[in-house]
Amino acid sequence: MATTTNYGWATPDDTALVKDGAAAIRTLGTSVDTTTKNLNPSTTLGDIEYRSSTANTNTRLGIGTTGQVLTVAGGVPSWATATSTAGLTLISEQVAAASSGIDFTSISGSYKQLLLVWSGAQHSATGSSFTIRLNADSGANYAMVGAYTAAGGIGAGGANNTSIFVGGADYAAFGQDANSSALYAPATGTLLIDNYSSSTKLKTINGSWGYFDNGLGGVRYVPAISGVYNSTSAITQLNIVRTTGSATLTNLANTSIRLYGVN
Amino acid sequence: MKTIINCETNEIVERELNKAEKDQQKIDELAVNAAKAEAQKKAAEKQAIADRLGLTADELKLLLG
Repeated sequence: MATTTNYGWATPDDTALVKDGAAAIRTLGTSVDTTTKNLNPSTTLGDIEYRSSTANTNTRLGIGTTGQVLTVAGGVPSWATATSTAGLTLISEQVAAASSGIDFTSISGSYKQLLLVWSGAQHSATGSSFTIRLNADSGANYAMVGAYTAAGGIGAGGANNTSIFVGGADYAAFGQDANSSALYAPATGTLLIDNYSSSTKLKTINGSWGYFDNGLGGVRYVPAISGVYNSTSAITQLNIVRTTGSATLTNLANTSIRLYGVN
Repeated sequence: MKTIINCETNEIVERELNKAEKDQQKIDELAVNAAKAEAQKKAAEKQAIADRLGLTADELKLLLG
């Protein structure tokens, strides 16, 4: 009986009898089915195959878990937990579009620090201020000090606050009345949170930013803050919240809000 | 609309502020306004002292800066 070149499937000879056709087709179909399954042993969404040491038979590699990377061990592919390397990992990048608030939730605890970087966050109107909270906690658990420089003067303060505000809205992390469309004018800044994933340590907060207060006729504010989030709970949420007014946040063209994990 | 990003799945949900969030903003607004009023009161007191001393705003800024 003849066979195919690559997989050796049995096919009828040219001289085979027509009456044996059904059996020949069935035999060929079974062979094709067996070979196909051998080459594609996947059973689950995300599975992949690789060539085994047996000809025409692949080995199934089940899907890994979140965060795992494909590596090689013992000469074959396998999934492994990603090795932590120094540097920044972009967790999420968002472009605000008429947002009254932005929550980053389910933040992985696999980094040493969190870094929030934003630019071009423009208010839709004057009359509003935005700040940042952690784990949606609005209790007086933010022991903050800070100072700001502004065109109209300087200020300094400190208190146990209900957000990373130091005092009044002069320290607003995402600006106060920052509705100018000039690129330098909307809220721009950085915030670093250390020990964020610890369930035993308090969280250290440091940040600086700038914005253009259009409600006061155009006063540039540059606050710098430092403090402690007085909680031993791991941070899994970072919340940009509106504290006054009804304005919304929209990123100017080619600007965004980025949350990084730092190792 | 409020934007909620699940950083694990990258799923994004947009919704209106709920009642608890609106209530919290009212509380925040009171605190911010109180801080503003306190700052304005201090500025007025500073200006009153300057007036008593006969200092102009620029002179006062020079003195305190």
